[in-house]
Amino acid sequence: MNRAGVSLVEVVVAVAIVSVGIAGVASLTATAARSLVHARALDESRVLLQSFVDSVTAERLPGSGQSRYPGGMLTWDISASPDSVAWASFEHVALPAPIRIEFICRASRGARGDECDPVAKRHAGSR
Amino acid sequence: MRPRSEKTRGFALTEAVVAGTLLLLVVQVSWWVTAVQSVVATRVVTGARILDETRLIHHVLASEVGQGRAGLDWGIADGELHLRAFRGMGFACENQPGDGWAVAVAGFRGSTANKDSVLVFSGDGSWHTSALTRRSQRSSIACQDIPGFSPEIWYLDPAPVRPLAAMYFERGAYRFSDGAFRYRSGQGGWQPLTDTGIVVDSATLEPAGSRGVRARVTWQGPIPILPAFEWTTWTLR
Repeated sequence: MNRAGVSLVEVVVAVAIVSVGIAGVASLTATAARSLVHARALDESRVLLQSFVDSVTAERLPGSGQSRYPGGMLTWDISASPDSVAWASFEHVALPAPIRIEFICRASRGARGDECDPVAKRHAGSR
Repeated sequence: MRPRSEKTRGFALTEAVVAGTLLLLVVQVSWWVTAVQSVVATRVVTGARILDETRLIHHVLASEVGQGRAGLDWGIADGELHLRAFRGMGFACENQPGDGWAVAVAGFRGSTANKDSVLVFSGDGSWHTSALTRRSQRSSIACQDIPGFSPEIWYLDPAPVRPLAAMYFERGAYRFSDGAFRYRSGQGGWQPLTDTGIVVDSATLEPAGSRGVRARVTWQGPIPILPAFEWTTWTLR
């Protein structure tokens, strides 16, 4: 073809370039949205784990177990021996891997089991 | 018969119509993609800001509630968290002056006379509250060197007996109101700590057991994440 104007090949190439551009932009946007969802899941996991650790470090509650939350599954293991390393892990449905933290419970303040916080009681009851 | 080159030069009407239509289509699609991208990007940025501000609220509550004793240092009334907002601490210096109490001090901010109160831990194991009436930062204060701490002399009313350590604090309160998370120092006005955008009807502070505070925050506006957050913060003392 020797004439000026738009050939079929040029049209196909132009459409392909535009399509790649659109797909790239959409991919970037989707990645940003996915990152935001991951960030929220990370925040939720961190807050839940911190709340759990705070609730059990003040009142030592040895044992292990699992508890299901709307966001995922919490698993923990707290040794009965004083100042040993305990751990808790939260498997969030929106995260590819569970988040695990290790912490050390202080020695018990005494017979104050009746003053345990609600979260700790729920965890203890679900063992 | 015309030469072939003349016959094929230029645009035919059909070609021009097709080219124009394609151009319009490309412009339309590009415009639409840009508009959608703009909306989604705005929502992503809003979502990131909301996450950031929710982190701030959680951090503030965890810090304030964590270092106070429930019922004594903080309490919740009418959806407001009233508390002794601890801003720093001091340890008694080895050498004490004739008047006042020499302490090595460190904190989020410096102590302020006539505004702060001091919770003093005494040698008999008891805690007492005094008003900080005056403070001095004389260079001649002889005090043990603790990294990050600076020596001061505090004048307290009433004067403590055999004081060992102390925490200074201001009276404050937190609440959700007018679309934001707010703090009030003393009897001052409610200052926003976050941007507005919180659905106040769905944002609450309430007791959780005897040692915790349950916070619920719901943000308004279309964002690509769930706009409701809930957590419990526990006192560590």
